[in-house]
Amino acid sequence: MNKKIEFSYEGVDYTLEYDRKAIEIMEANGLELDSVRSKPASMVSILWQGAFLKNHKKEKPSKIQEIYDNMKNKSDLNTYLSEMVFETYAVLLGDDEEDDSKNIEWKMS
Amino acid sequence: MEDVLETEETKKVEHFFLTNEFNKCCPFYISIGMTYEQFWYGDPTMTKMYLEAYKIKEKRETEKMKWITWEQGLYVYEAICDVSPVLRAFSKATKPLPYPEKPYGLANDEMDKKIKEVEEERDMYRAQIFFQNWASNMKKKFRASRKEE
Repeated sequence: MNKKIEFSYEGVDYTLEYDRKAIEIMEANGLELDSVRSKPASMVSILWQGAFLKNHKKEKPSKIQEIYDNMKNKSDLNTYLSEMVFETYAVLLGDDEEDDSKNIEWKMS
Repeated sequence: MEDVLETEETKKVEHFFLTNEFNKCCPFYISIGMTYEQFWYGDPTMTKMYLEAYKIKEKRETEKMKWITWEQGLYVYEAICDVSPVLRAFSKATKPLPYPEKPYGLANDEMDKKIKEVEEERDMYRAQIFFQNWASNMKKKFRASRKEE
């Protein structure tokens, strides 16, 4: 199963996820994944709106923005949105289960 | 200090678009059984399962092909052996040895079938004997209890 974001807002259950068509639409609307760091405001806005395309296509942009403004942990949310997008590409390569015992392990300090 | 990350060369690098990658991969996934709708509108992780299934299928087909090729070699080898007495100089043989009437493996299948039939028959007799013994024991017990009464 793919990565999703699930929550309830004003009595409505939302499931945010991406399909490849949604990403195509997002890129047609200016999404550049390699510019997420240099232009975070506009890129995150497209990522967030695109997450509604699959299951909540008819939601108004003002409502989508309102929901975003009320979301907690925005930093983690933005990171997770990027991960959700990259997942759609990573699974195409199908090499995540290869033997990586020879690769170098690293940790954050 | 010169910025090593942003030089004239790196500025020329084109943006990486996922759509381009999806368009490249889509025909491959359609060729291994995925539909267009599944690829573009379905759960993105579905491709992982299709890829895994494709690898399993490929492996099985390769194994099958290896076996068929080996078997074909065996037939060729045997055909050469069968005909070789005729080809030998000063040989008195006028006819080659007959080629096998059936492909290899068929005889074994028939043998397996017969073994299975014999085993089934044996199991049936065993069951009959078991139930006959059980019935006669019950009769004995029943008679004994009547005599006691």
